[in-house]
Amino acid sequence: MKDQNFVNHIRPRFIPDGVLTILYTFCLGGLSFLAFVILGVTGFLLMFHYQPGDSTGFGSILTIASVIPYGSVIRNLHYWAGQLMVVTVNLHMLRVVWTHSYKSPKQLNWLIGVALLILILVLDFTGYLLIGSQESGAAATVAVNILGLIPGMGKGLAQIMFGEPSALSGSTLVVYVWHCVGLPIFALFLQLYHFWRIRRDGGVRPL
Amino acid sequence: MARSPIKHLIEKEGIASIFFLVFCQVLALKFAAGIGTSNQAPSVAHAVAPWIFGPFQILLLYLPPWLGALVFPLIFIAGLAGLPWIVDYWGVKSGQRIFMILCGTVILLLIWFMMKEFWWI
Repeated sequence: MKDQNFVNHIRPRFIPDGVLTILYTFCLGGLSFLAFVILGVTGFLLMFHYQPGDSTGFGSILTIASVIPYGSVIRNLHYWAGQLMVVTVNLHMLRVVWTHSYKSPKQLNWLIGVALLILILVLDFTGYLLIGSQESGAAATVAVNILGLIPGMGKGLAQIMFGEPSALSGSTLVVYVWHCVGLPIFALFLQLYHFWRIRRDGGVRPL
Repeated sequence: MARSPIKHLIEKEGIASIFFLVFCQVLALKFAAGIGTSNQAPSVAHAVAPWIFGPFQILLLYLPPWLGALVFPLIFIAGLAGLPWIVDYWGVKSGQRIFMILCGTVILLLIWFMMKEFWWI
């Protein structure tokens, strides 16, 4: 019964020796998850002071960066963990290809990994929009116009993803909810399933 | 295959995590995250995408939006997602080559973006 729980499944008592060499995985998957945890913790702290909206988004970022005690460090940590996560996720993908770890029976886990990569990029983008600067307004306008190119459902999709951002600020309540709740929860569940599948498919195995 | 207790893996991951946390903290203390231009400012800023989306900006700059913003990214995603099946069908070498072409294109576009917008951070 003990061996059937989730933690024991992803953390079996014994693992192949070859996995222990740092040069095989470089810990990139684990570091990506660590970055995700840092983002969760710092993001949670930032939520206490951030107010989304055309007129309030940029102002609250300035307040966090210059008035709130340790706000600047927490925001910088959130930013840098996000940047590093994109790097580690991409390097992790390169490592998986390099070691042929996407082959049968790991195709499904590869697909989940690709979905996670896209999700991380969308999270990064929505985070950029929440700054509420002129640049984020321009980015939101471009994104809304791009989604609008999809025949039939494009405009509706843009509305669901971004709400109605102004050209001068990408910060909207819709983007905020996606960035802080919807996308992270989805990413967390995908990551847990990703880890579970690693063991299910035979674990990390050196060539 | 020889097997080791999980604690050896946990030790290795712990050390890597400490290094990563320290590295993040140093970056956070040393380099401030960009804030951008206030939306109350009179002049409209020259909008530059964050470096992560640099390749996308280059595609949008030189190609029609439907091609640069929809078709090329979709081809890239389809190529990535389909890699295990491409390898099954055409062999490992062809699959790896296709992957390298996809990644090489993105890296090339990223370098192009960085050369063009040197204030990319």
